[in-house]
Amino acid sequence: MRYKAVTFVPKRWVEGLSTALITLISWVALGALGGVIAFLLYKGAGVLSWAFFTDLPRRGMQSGGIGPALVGSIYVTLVAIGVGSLVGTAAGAYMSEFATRRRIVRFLEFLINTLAGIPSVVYGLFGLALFVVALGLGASILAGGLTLALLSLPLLIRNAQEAFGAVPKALKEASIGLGASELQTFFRITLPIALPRLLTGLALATGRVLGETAPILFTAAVYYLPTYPKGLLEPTMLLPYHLYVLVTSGVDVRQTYPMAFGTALTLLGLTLAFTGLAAYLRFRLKRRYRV
Amino acid sequence: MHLRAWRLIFAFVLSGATVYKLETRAVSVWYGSYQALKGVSLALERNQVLALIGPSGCGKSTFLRLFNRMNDFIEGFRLEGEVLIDGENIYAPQVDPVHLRRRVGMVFQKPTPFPFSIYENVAYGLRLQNRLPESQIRERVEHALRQAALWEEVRDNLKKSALMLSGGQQQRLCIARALAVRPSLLLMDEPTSALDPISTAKIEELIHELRQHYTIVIVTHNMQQAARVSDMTAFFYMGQLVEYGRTKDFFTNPQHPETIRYITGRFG
Amino acid sequence: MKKKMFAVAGWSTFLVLIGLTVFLFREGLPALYKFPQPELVFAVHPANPVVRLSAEAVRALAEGKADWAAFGGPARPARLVHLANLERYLPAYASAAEIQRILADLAADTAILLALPAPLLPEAVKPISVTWQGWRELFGSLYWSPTYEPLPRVGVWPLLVGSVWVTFIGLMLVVPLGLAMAIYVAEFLPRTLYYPIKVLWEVLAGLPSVVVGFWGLVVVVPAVKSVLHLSAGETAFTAGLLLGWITLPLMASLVEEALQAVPRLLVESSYGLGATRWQTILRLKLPYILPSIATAALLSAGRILGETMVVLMVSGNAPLLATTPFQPVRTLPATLAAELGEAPIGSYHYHVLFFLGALLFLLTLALNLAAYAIQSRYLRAQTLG
Ligand SMILES: Nc1ncnc2c1ncn2[C@@H]1O[C@H](COP(=O)(O)OP(=O)(O)OP(=O)(O)O)[C@@H](O)[C@H]1O
Ligand SMILES: [Mg+2]
Repeated sequence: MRYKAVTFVPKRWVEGLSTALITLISWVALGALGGVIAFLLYKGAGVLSWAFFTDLPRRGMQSGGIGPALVGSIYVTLVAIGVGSLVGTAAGAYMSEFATRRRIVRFLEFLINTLAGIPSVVYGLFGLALFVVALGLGASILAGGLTLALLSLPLLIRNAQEAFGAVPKALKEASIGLGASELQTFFRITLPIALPRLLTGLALATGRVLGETAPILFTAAVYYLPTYPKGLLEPTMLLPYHLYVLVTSGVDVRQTYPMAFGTALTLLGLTLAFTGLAAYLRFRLKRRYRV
Repeated sequence: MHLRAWRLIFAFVLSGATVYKLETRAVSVWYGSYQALKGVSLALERNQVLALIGPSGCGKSTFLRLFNRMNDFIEGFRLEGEVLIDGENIYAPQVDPVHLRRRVGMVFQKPTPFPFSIYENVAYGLRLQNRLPESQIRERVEHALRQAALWEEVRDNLKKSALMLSGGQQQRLCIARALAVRPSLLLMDEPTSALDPISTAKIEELIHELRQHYTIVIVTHNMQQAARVSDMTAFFYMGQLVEYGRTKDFFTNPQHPETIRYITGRFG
Repeated sequence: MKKKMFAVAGWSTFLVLIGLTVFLFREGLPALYKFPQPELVFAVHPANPVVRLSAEAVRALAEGKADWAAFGGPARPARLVHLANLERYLPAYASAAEIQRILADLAADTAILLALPAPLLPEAVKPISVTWQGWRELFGSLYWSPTYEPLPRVGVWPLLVGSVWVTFIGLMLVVPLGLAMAIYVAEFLPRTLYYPIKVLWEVLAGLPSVVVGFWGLVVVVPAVKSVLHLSAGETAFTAGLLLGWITLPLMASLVEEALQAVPRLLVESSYGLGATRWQTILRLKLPYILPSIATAALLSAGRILGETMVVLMVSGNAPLLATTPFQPVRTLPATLAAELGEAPIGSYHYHVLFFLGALLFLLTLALNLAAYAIQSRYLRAQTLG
């Protein structure tokens, strides 16, 4: 009688090949990322100059700079992160420190997960209906900033909740035991200790907000405006939208490509800077905690 | 402050008896549906050290934390009976737990230094209350550090991070921090269980010193420690106060079979 | 007092979610019951007995697919005059009086069907009513042409199908590759590289989508075109490719976390029984984290479905019903981004776009809830076991 082997005998070379394959996949996916960055650097670095960052767009956006778009993006991001971080930090504090029932916190976490899954363009619609139309802000820096603030809330709240939650409970109890009220404990112990983590989340959110396009399409952005924004209630040019415009709606798209590469590189540089800052902060944190 | 003093005198005159520093009357505690303490009644006089002993999970910490209302934060916490400090029911509706905690110091099992400087750690409790001039804060920080027998070791490094201290020093810092707000009652939950023998000895010495000015309640798993530092000992078992008496009698002549089994080390 | 403010902030997400739902539906539901061209009057010759037409009938008449007889009128094909083709009948320069005269002449034709604003309407015509069933128009039509005259075509199927193709291609990419990357990082990556690679994932996930779209347009689109020998490189496939790529970090990190959380005891038992590393991965770990994989795939699908700018730039933007992924398509979000700027606030077009937004909201919500349900059920099962 002959037995048929029923167990799969692993062959060394099959396993080795599998390992090699997933290694290859992992690095190719990231290699493409390097490709994007290198490509934009190669094509766009030549365009960058001080004048490019400060000048107005000229000659049908085929030359000049991106000054208004850069400044507009900074304004909108400031509004978004200003409002978002305030509300987000307070909400995270509520969920981690002040909410009295576990069920409430679970429910709020569920809401946050739900909000986090909503596409950014839907936030744009909401911002249009609420801020631009219903509240009468018009397409403006304020409306766009508030829309982006809502968009970044889930990220900021989750991060704040984690940051506060990571502060050792023993320290909070020690402070309470010394006669500090809950609020005193929060402002004097929990908040300062959580600060590095809070900043990490803030940097991440800033990077994300800077690159968002869909939510500001109808709430803040204008196609072309040869002036710097003068107030919160004015519409403005914005970097991501400007790039989109340069690439898709120029009279002769080829002519605007150098500008587009410069804009893309600027945008990429800004978001990378903030993502990198977040990574650095987290790295520092890890090291400190280990000591 | 006035009211409390009057109440003290009043109670004293009316009852014609001592007003205890601490007293519990038929205290039961629940965490949700779980009953952690079952009808505990006990009283302690001023400037005495009370040791709480008993097997793990018997309710020692729960009992200790009653006196500064730290259990209030736990979801599902419920209390029956009365807890009195200086004759005043601290769970009465008009009592502000934050004020109460400023009169009651607490030291935890593990040292809990805040990530500030040594000086700021001790000053922390002082800065919570009405604004004291910095000179006065300095004075009280120094006094507290001296009381906690830490002054000599840190006097030149007050600005250094408290995290740089050794475990034993950190725990004494926490004691100093608690003393700085001038409590009359000091609660300690296994204050030496995370420390080496030398640090432990220092803390025990400290408790000896402090008993002259403070009433102290200390939870410990170490029978020798209870015998060394306390005047009174209470033995808890499964949420009940099984035996309570003078420490001398307690260890030489225990009454209850459970107590005997526990102090002779025959518990699982 | 201050504590109350924390509570208010804590519940802000609730307010946002409620507000979002209310506004999307408030602006979107009119697409179901409003008439798209309220300022137009539809009118016929007085001798024409027709008094009521459906929107479909108007379209059939306009395109010459049916004549009046089909609706009880004269046996002649209809002659349609509306704002968009009016010029055809007018000389280059016409005075108001001339226009009136020309319109009156047109209206003398018994086969005429006019769709004009009331002030332009000649006197001797009979207004008729045109019925519009929003539900049937949205889900019963295969054409998307929301500014078409005299009546728009607002069938959502081309857009839905476009979204489905892009999401499908994206998932085909992100699920296997995401798994591979997760396994690599959880099992084979040297520990010193762990943190750097996580940072790279974060960078990839954080690339502004408009930059990805730009890069896709100048690099990937031509590549797809020449490699696959297509007439245009802007296809659902191209968009799916790029979206799958930028969704990899989400998928991979969720799976990687799950892999790390497989109980040590189980893993060591597996090794103890003589299993190799790969056997342990394939036979123990992957089955064990199957619910997490499903959750991650659903979340990735939601992310791909909702992505806007990349699709807008590389998918060709043609709202046609695509039968293969190698055709230009347009997705739900891309339509919103492309058209909302041009739709006057409060117009039918505006309401239809909000309706699409609500649809997109519900679709992504469903995906997220499904993911959430799987996860919580699995967690409960795990704590019980
Ligand atoms: N927050 C809580 N929620 C529910 N039950 C609790 C909580 N804290 C303590 N308990 C329960 O109450 C009982 C008494 O707890 P307590 O902490 O007072 O014990 P202990 O005597 O201090 O034990 P140990 O010596 O281990 O510190 C234990 O059975 C514990 O499980
Ligand atoms: Mg305890």
